[in-house]
Amino acid sequence: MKRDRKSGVIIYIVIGMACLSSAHLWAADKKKAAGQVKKVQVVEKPMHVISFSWDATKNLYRVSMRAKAGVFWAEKKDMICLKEATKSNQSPAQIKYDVHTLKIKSCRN
Amino acid sequence: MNKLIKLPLFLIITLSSSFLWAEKVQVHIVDRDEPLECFHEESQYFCHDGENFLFGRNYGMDLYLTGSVDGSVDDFRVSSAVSLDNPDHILFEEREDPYRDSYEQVNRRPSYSKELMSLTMLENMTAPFSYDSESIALAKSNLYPLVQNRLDQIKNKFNQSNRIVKTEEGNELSCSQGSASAGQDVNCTFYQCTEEGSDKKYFYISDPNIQFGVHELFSVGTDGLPQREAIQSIHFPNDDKSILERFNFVPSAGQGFGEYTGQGDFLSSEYSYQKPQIDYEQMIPDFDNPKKSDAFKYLIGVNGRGAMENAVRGCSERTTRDFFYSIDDLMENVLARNSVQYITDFNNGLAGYYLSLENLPDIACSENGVFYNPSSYETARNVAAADRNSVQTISMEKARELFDKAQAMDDIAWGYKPDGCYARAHLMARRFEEMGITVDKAWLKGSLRAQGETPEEDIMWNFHVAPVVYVEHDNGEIERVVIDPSVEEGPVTAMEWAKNLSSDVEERVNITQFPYPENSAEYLKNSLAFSNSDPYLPLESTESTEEQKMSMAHATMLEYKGYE
Repeated sequence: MKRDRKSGVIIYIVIGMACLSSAHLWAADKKKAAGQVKKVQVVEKPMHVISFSWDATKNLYRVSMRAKAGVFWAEKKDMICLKEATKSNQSPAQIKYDVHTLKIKSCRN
Repeated sequence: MNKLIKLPLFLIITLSSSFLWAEKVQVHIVDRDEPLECFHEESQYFCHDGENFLFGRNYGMDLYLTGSVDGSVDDFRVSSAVSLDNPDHILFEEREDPYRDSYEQVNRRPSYSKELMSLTMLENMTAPFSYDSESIALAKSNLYPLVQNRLDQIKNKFNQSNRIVKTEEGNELSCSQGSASAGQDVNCTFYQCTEEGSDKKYFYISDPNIQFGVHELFSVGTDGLPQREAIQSIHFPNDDKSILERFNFVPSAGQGFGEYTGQGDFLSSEYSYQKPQIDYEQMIPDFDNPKKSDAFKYLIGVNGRGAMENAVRGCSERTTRDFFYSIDDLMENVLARNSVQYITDFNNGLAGYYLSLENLPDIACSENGVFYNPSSYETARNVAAADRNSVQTISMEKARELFDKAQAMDDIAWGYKPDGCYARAHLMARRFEEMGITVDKAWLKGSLRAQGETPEEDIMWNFHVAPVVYVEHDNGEIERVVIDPSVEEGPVTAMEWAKNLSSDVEERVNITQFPYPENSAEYLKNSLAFSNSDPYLPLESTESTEEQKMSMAHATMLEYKGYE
């Protein structure tokens, strides 16, 4: 009898978790259908940094790349790499970034 | 507890903690024989050499470690950091930096305080401390209270509302902190200063992050324009030692915002790329006072205005209003009067710039108010847009039809907006031309914003381009109309299109010649220009063939279709 009660509790927990997961998946599907969920997609490419400047509102560097119209965004930690990349006649920097937000994940000279 | 519950709990705890564990690494320091054993996580390092605690992190291509927190802080240059578990995994290796020796010269100004940087770095450093070790436990129990105590003392000192600022000319200014903005979590570090016996207005600005050496002093002359003043020293009241001396502020290549040089080295990065034929100084108008030139240089520099806005973001608008009015006067009125567009050779192609009228090269030819390097004029004419009075026109209905056709082109990545306008524009232009339509391109340069689904998802561009067709209205008027399904619901006039993307500069749009001025954003303007349908990208080489452009356009769209 005691064993049965415990098993019952476990079954309820499992059913509860299954319900929560399906609700979560359903909400995610709905968001996806509404175009609200964008898969984080990170790529790494050699790129020429043309210039960068501090954006006080976003607390990030605003970065212009050669042959790219989009504004890229970089954290303070990448400043030296960006600075190095803007020096004349340098080879391109290896930039890893999120293709949807254009936020730079890493920069290597 | 039942075994059935214990097991999943055990698994959850084990799996989560494995994500938290830091990696053990061996760090070699320049001029020190014995390597250090350190913990590494998320670019942060924590080491204990038996006596001192050392901590640091990667900044781009450098790894810095600083040691001890009793006030005597040293920098250590790291030559390598290698994983102890996997010696093949090199986390950091020092490389030859050809510019290392020139940093000190370039960065004349004190940039950051070693002590304050170390203290704040340690205060905010959490990642490696997830590791369970004796030295980390020691750091937590001994080091953290020391750090917190020292930081509290220093922050209290910096929270004093007054400063004494001495100018290089020997004037002593008494400065009072401006009022803070409601709801801001940072102090207002903008000060209004007065000098005994003088009516002159002064403004002193520092960085709310106390470890950074941003200290700027501006005065406003009788003409209402700002002048940048040189600072000799800054003091807390009743303290003989200056702030920079007390906290050992030093020049640096990488940290803080103190990289202002006034010499146009770091500032002119946009213009150093592949050496255009103009130099940075040519963009600075001649002023009656060199302090105004200096203020101007600072404000259009890479980090000038941004750093300053960061420094005053905790202040009420009332506090900083007068100062920013004087800056706007400088940027708008002076520039409008003094700057012209100059087109010159660049990277086997063309580039445009706003230049100060008095600093134009001695040999330049002009047409309709635009100045050209004589060797660039022919190339510029070859890519010029058609004269709208002698082109084949279409009706607005036809333009709508083209818009719908463009929207239906399923090899164009309409669902991915952060980049790719140049590829979309080229493909659309060539396909419209195949239909017998006259097509040019509209280019917009500056600070551009396209509305996303929410304000956070707004898309920012440095430039934008779209095809232009010529629409003849019933009254015979001919207008340039842009076909751009990436940002518009239908065909719009070129000026409407430009203004819709220019909310950041209060719709200030200047019509310029192609290629537009590269330095438009620094001059707080967005520049609209028209070319024929040939140019593919700004600053491109004229040697690019049509085949190469089409191939690049298809490849870009193919890649971006994958991001939709």
